[in-house]
Amino acid sequence: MQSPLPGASGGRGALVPWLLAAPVILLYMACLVLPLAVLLVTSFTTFDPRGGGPTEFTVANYAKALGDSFYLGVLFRTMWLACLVTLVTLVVGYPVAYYVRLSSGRAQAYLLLLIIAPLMVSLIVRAFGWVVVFGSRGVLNFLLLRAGLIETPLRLMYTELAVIIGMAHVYFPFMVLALLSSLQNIDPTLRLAANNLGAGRVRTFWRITLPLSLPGVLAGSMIVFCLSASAFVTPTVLGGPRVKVMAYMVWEQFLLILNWPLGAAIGFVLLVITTGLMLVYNRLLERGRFGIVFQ
Amino acid sequence: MLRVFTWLVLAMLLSPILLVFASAFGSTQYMVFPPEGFSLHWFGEALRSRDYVESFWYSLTVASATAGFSTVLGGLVALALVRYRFPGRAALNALIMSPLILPPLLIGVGLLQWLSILGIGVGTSSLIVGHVIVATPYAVRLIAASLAGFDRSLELAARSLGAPPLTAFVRITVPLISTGLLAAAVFSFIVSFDNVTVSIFLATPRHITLPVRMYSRVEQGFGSTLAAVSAMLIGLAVVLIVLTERLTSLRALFLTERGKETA
Repeated sequence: MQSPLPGASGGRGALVPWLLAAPVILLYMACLVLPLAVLLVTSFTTFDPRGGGPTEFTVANYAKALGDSFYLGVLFRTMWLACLVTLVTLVVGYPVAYYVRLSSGRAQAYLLLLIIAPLMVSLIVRAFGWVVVFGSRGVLNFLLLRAGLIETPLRLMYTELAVIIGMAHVYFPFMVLALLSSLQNIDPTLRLAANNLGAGRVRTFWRITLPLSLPGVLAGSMIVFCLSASAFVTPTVLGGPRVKVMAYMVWEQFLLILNWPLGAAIGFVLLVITTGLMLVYNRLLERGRFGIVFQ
Repeated sequence: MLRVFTWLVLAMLLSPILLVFASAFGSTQYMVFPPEGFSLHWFGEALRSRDYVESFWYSLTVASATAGFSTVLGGLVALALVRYRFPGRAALNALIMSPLILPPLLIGVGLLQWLSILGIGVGTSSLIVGHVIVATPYAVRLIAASLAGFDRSLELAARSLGAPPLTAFVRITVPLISTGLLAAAVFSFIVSFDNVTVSIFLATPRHITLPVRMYSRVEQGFGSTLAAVSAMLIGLAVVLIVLTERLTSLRALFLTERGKETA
């Protein structure tokens, strides 16, 4: 999408593209930018539980979201879980992406199809899949009991383990696609050159392939971290109130406790972390690579 | 070894989905493993449930509307971004893609508060607006990839043969980028049909989308009726996968940048 035809506007000036984009710009301004601006203001106001009272400027919501040990704990847990999910998808995804890269033709097409296919299945259904696995009378407990490794069923649901595995399952394809796109950008002649110069397969991998695929590692980690940090469905279905993450807190404040200012503050802390990471990442890369992040 | 590892991972990737599918055929009310008995009872139960059926049709309506709006609006933006160079183009691109990096929850929460301030109240149209915002970046990306790979000289030839700009566009360009348009529509539909994080804030007691309904039901345990609904959704996904593979390729939905090279 970086290949516009200059002069294609036929001299009608720079107005045409803005007219084409106008409906979306208006929609975004009215229903995304303005609401978020108002929400930002709300996050700096006091909360009146009786409602309707006058509100005043305060930073108390942020002080609570970032200072209170409970909220800070949730913040750290969210980041910790996102880190682990990123690590799991990276460690498991790299060999898979590498294998897909080595395969060719129909085999590669089928592998990719199988990796991408789960993305077409509803997110909530994929979370249910792990409910079936982790339930007290689920698959894993059955297997462990059968193998004689445990006497009574383990409580696997509503644990961090369930959340990590569930999220790794959901975001795995994104990691593989990011890794694959950088693996495929590596000039195959480099590997041949390394072989010619006497490097074995292992050495070639560590000295040539792995360093050259680092952009994909970074891109994939970025995507998976941000997606898991702001994930809602998977951590709440598999973790519930026992494994509270930031997205859960926002939901809880908005729909159960009705403390919108605090909910907004937690939401913006999450936004600053994820968008901040993305911006830093984009600064690291040259301009115009923005699009690659969400391939 | 790499091969064995890959297939093991793929098996793990697909097995939870297959397990949900299989669990719908048990005869117990709540899922147990190994399943006891075989029964289609829960499919009948799901299809007789007014809640699920109404939510399904509601989701279908919202997702179709979202697909339509996102494809048309996103197509216009893609045209602007691909065919013109103008001051502010990078900023426009960043604005259009911004919903991808925002926590989706905030989009829903922001809309909820905004609507309550305006005194409009949540409803179907605000839900569609929320979904269009989430789906449009994908639509823009898919259509832009398709437009970038399109040979502009064909349209210019039509113009030089006397076709008015709009006619040339509708008769030449639109058919030639139809794959991208279709991919955009399919993807927007899925994004909307699957959405929980925005919908959950914009649901009304009367109108609840199917995934939100399923989400709120699972709090009472993963019942077999819920498993049957899930199994039907998996069936729907398989149909969509096969259709997409026939019409374009599933990869094209997710690998837009490289999609244009391989196409």
